Amino acid sequence: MAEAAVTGAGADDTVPAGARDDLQGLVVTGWSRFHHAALLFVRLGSDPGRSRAWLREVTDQVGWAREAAGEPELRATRPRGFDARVAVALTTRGLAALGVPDDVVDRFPQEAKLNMAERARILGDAVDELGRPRDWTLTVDGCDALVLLYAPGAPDRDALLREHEQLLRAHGGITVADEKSAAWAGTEPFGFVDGLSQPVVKGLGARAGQPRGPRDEIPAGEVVLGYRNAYGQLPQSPTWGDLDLGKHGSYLVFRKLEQDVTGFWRYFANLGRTLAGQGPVPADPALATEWLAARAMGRWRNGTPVVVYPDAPGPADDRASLNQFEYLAHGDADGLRCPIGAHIRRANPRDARGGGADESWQVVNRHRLLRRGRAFGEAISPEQAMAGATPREPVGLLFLSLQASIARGFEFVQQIWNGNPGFGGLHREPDPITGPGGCAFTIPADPVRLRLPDLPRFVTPRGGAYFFLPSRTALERIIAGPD
Amino acid sequence: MIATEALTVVAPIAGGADEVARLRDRLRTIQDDLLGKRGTNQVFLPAQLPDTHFMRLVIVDDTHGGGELAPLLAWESNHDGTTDDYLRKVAREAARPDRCLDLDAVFGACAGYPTGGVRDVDGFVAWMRRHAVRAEAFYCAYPGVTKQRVDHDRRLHDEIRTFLDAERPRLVGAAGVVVHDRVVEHLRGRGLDVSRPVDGAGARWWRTVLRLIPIAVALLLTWPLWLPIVAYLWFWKLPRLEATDKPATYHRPVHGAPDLIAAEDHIVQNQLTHLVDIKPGWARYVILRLVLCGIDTLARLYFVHGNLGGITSIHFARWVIIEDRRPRRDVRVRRHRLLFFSNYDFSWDSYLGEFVDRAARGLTAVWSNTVGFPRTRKLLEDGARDEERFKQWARDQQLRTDVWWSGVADATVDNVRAALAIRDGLATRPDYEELTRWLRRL
Repeated sequence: MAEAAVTGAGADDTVPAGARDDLQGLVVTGWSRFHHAALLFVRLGSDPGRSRAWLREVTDQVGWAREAAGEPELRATRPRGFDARVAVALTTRGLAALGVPDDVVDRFPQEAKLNMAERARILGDAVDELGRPRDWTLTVDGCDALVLLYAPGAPDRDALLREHEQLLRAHGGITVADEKSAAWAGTEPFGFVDGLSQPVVKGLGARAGQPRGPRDEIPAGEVVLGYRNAYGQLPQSPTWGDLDLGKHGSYLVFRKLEQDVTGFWRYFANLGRTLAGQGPVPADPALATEWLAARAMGRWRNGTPVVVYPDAPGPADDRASLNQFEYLAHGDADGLRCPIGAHIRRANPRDARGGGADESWQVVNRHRLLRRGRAFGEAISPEQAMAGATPREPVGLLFLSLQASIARGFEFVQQIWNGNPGFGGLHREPDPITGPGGCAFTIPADPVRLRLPDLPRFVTPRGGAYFFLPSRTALERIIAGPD
Repeated sequence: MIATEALTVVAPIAGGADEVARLRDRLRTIQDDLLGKRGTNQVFLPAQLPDTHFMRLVIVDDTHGGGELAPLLAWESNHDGTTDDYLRKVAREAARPDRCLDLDAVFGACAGYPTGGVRDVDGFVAWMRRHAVRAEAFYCAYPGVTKQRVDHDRRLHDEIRTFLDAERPRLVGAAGVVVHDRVVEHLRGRGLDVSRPVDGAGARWWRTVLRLIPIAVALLLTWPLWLPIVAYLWFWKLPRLEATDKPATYHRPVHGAPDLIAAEDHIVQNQLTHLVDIKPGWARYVILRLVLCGIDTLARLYFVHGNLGGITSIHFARWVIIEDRRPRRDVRVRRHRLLFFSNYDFSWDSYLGEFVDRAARGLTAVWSNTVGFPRTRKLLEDGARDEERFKQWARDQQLRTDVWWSGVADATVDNVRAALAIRDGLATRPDYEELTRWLRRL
């Protein structure tokens, strides 16, 4: 059985339009037209039958890809005073709690079966002497399921969350934790425009208004199981009897990342005052601050890339350049425009990963993440932060990404690109934005580079978990039970 | 004229399973100490080995093959100078009372180890030499560069970093040559060696070329003898072997043994010990030897700048063939095994990924001659391109490394080579274009 699924004659690398009834909408959209989101982390009860009844109710509310792609939805959503969308993801523990047989669960990827805490060391999180994450405050990696809730307004979202907590309790489950997003703003809490670079899954197309990149189209099998991936192979997919349980499913990574907005802007404001006028740093302290922060990010606050606009932010209406850029093509192999260690140059090295542009893109496109994250907490503006104001509550990012392999997707990007102190020939320099603090960041310049030897920590991981995002067919199979 | 050499000692462990278990425990205390877990190891501190870049100790057992082959102890050392000189120096150092290099406690578990141990220098060297196995192919990212120079030049680079961090405000806008002069002056003041280093790589290159000339001439003169054999292998035998090979099958994405994963990602580098049976029959054995010979030649002549066929993250790697040591008349099928040691930067997944992304053909040419490898065509094609299956196959043949030590724990190949290039540019003032490149490395 398993062999038939992996050899898969005739499998393609493009999702056909007909498959959209089977895909969860989250694969196609972050549902950003619903400005408020909540994440409900679930522990299921001990009766698999009642848990399957719960999954039935949740599945009936899921927003599918056909509607997300702009086509009319097949099924009416539940009548409420407001419109809402739901997505549902399961851990391998949750699959077992729903009655999926052990030998089926065993066919899931190794990392999906581990608690994320066991991966803390490779993910670069601060760990104690036993390797346990030291700064985590949210323990959700032992949960059974994640329900993602999307609603237009904050009160609607709160009502939806209450409704789902009741639904869960009525079926013997309990809430492990819940997380509420901030209102959708299109910027992350440090104040930078976010979500500009996204891969385009073949057959699913780009989201409307998404700025296109030079080579953003990737084979469907990089994100959705059941299709050929960037190696031309059909990824191993968990099977249940004759059914390919993975097909049209994906793996979902969740990370809660707390951001120190005040610390970030005060650090760069201080640095701007000290370094203004030195070498390539602009003479005006305010611009110097922005210049230095933009070097660490790789983009200016309005999203324009520093490799295109090295001296000052580009015009915000230059949508074309937001994602349509490369590093070598701008003659920037040495990072004089955009530092090698800059956050976005690590997260997506584009043409600069060695072996020439073609080989680099080919390699890079084997590690692309479809990002679906949301900011949390009421953010303050960079100006307020520079003045020393602090947010009233913790702020940061509820990071969510989709990929067909967690090891080759999220974990690779986190460990080998963002977190790697030796990335691109650097020495003891992990990501300046998301790194652990206490490390250096080099801004190349002639004749002498500018090196910030001891960056503070700006981002603290607070917890996370790995999930399987099943297709409609897979959900129906799980709901039908093992008999 | 110092060369970088690969020493591989493979010796049978005397006694039964108990002896092996005891040795494994002893090695574990050494490894725990290296990972900073206990600090109780008073047996063996690899950092005290002279002129050594990387080393490991592995108990090579036959768990995959059902345990019919006797357990071996393998010692991998990447060292400077000739093997004889190195072993002599190791023995002398080990015998010093202020050193913690009890090689006797490690190798004493092996059959025939001299009773005098390291104090019997000649006996020690002779025993080691007797059990040394030639590497069929050996790659080194910085050939001819001594460990001493690596350490010195990295210290020098650190010193430059600190100097420039402090002096930068006064150097902004200065001419490149002024920066160069100031750096040299500062390093001299610190008593560091800024002279042009001896080029060991060139000597190694020339030695290889000189050795190859007679071989090339002999091959040219004798082509009627070997060409038919090669043609037979390529056009007749290989396609038939490839059609009937049985690749290992898997029903789930890559799973690695928990003890392998727990041992990984503690420093910037990782290691791989990989052991697999060569496919039965003479043809595969001959093809493998030829491929490895080709890789070895390329590694000595062409891949000498820290780049092995597109992969820039390998410090040292070698392939060794362990011949079947059982008496010939007892067995119908010989079991030769291919042992691979690698010392590389970054994670297992990224290393194997680099293999697939950038050097799939080369590694397919090697490992398609071993059991269970994904299906190949024409020796080089497909094979490792089957990414998931290749990685699972690699995981399944991986051996746990009992002791592994890196002499450059926080430096990537790029870091080491940058430090060496900076040192090269110190002695003479580079011309303008080279100077810009030199300054950007700092």
